Amino acid sequence: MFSNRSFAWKLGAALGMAALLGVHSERRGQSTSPDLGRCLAEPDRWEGTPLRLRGARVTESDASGFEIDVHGSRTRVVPAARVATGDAILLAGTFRAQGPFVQLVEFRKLEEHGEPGRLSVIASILVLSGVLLNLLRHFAFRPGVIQVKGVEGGDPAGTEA
Amino acid sequence: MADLFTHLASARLPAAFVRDRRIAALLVIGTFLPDLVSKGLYWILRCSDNFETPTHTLVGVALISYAASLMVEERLRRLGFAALLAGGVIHIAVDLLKDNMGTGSSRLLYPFSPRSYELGLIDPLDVVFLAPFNIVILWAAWSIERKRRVQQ
Repeated sequence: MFSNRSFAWKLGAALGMAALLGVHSERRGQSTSPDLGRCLAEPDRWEGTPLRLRGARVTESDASGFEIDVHGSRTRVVPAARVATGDAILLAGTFRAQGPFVQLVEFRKLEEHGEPGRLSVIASILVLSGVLLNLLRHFAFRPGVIQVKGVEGGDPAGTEA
Repeated sequence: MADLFTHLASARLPAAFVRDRRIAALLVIGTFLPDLVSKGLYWILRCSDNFETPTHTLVGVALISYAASLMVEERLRRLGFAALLAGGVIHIAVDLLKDNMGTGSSRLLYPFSPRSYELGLIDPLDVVFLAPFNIVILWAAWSIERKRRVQQ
């Protein structure tokens, strides 16, 4: 399993299985957790579906609810919440076919978290750079050295340049 | 995802107990792999959320770790795989702490079960406030390593 024998096949199999898992998840996800656009296209089919909407932008707000745009799909959300036009929010809700609309369960305003969010991204980039540098202290990155070269009595450890 | 600083801190502590520094480095990079792969799929290949979901499952992490371990020289590969896998599992464990508004942060047992899990302890948008705790953890890891070097 961990030898150099049939190296390319093992690598291909692992990546292929990972890709198949992604395809399976994609297909299953379409039928169990559709995006807003799909719900709006077939409202009756997706009645009662729980939704978690990332990147929603409030386009209108009034006393009874508000409207959101999620990557070009627009819908109404009820009941009203403390949001204003232009707010970016994360939203969890339930899709209702009669309207159609989304029944709000919970939401978060992204602006309230804007600064820590940016800090978090900057910190993550710095940390990743540091970890990759540390990895390069211990391992040489030599794409030209293919592991299968070592199978036939050559250089199994890939220590030769 | 929790921020990578939090993931680093969560992996550095167990890595401090690993004698071989190369394996320790793999354990730390292992904890980054689920996010590196999922963000790569999302930002570079423009894959959907559903497609990248397996990157944060136990089976997905095992496959990614195995593929990554093949990049390591043969004699280190078995231990390297264990370290990468441990890092990935730590990553999922940290992500489970998040509050994803009830929708779950990881489908742990996918493809055997589609159920999502979350403990709902941390707002993912506020993870930066964990920084002081992370610094303490990193300091503890550094102290452990230093003590071990002195003993050797």
